[in-house]
This record gives sequence, structure tokens and C-alpha cells, in this order.
Amino acid sequence: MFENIGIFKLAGRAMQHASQRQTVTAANIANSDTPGFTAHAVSRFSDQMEQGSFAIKATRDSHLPFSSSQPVSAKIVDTGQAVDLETQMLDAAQIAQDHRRALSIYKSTLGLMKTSLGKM
Amino acid sequence: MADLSQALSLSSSGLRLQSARLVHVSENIAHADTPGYQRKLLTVAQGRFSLGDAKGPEVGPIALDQSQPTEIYDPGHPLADETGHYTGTNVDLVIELADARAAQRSYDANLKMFQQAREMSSSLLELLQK
Repeated sequence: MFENIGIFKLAGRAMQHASQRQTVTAANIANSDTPGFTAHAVSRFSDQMEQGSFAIKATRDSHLPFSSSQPVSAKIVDTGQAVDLETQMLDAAQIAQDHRRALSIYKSTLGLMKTSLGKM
Repeated sequence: MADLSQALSLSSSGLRLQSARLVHVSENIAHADTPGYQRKLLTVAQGRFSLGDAKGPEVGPIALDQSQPTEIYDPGHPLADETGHYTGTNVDLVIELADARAAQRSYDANLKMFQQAREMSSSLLELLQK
């Protein structure tokens, strides 16, 4: 329903990216005692944004430009380094923050939509 | 959502692994005075890793520590040989305690990830309530 609205798409992508990072970090921590296991990482969200983009249709010159990314799937990179619990926990805190931010954007946009429809 | 449930299953397999490690540690400590006991070690069989189909680590077969057991001098002991020594264990309590602490630290980290994934998925579900 909302997928065609750019900001919902963007927030949804950001949430999905956070979930993927959560999975990879969980795997790193779970495997911290596995011999030969090296830490994995997900490519950054901004890198995904830069690859392949589409722009919102501007029918007038006064329209603000807005471009967003087409789904580019996340890449997992093997860092080749041993799992360091401290770094992973730091990453986890960052992931929680990113996820919360994306969710807040989604919620407030939803509120904006409701207000514009006259439903408070 | 699928990613988060996968994160939950990965974290829970990490938790299972660490508790298995603690089982071995407590077994070793309990047997620290059993003559002839060999220290048990946990081995880890790595699960395949790829996004979408990741498997967590699994507990592998038990390995025995092959290091030399201590010879204890106690001429009155029923197992003592002619020199008055009997074979003790190769359990070192300091190593076991350090192992237990490492297991606990890892367990905490896995638990933290589990809780975080749960919070993330429940906050996603909250979107439906409005």
C-alpha cells in the first residue's frame, strides 16, 4: 500500500538493512568460539543507496528533486579477522539505533499521512 | 522479519553452545579429584553461513584433553604404586574457571543479541497496532 511512496520505501529499506546487520552480527557472536570462523560484515547502507537509483517524477521545474535507490541487495563481506566481542557489541548498539531511527521516520510519516487525510 | 527470526535462531544456537561449554566445565571441576579422569573439551562444528540460510554453531563430539595427568604423592592411597604415587587428573582449576568466565561472557553477548532482535521485531509489530 505504502511501498510506492518514496519515504516509506526508504525507511523500509533502512529497517531491512538493520535486520540483516542484526543477523550477521548475531552469527558472528554465536560463532565467536568456532575455530577458523572470521567476522562477516554487511555492506553499508549508503553504498547500497549509491548503486542504482531512481528519481521521483518531476512534472514541474518547481518540484523538489528526490531520488531514492532501487532495491540493491546487501552484500556480505568476510572481513578475514577474528571475531572481537567488543566490536560486535558496539555494532549491535549501532544497529538498534539505526533500526529505531528508521522506524521513527516510518511512524512519523504515517502520522503525517493521517493528518493530511484529516484523521488525527 | 525473516532476517530477525533468523537472528533469533542464530543467537539461540550460540546460547546453547555456551551452556554446553559450561556443562563440560562443571563436569571437569566436579571430577577434579577423580583419579584417572581426563579433562573434557567442547568442540564446535561450524554451521554454514550465508544470509537467508544461516546455521548457527553446533556442539561437536567431545574431545579429551591429552595433556599429562598429575602424579600425586600419597603412599597411603589404595591406588598408589610402589613409589607412593597415583595418577590424578589433568584438570587445572584455574583454566576451568577462566573457561567458565569466557563462556559466561559469550553467553551474555548472545543473550543481548537475542533480546535486541526480539525488541526489533516487536517494535515492527507495533506498527500494526495503529
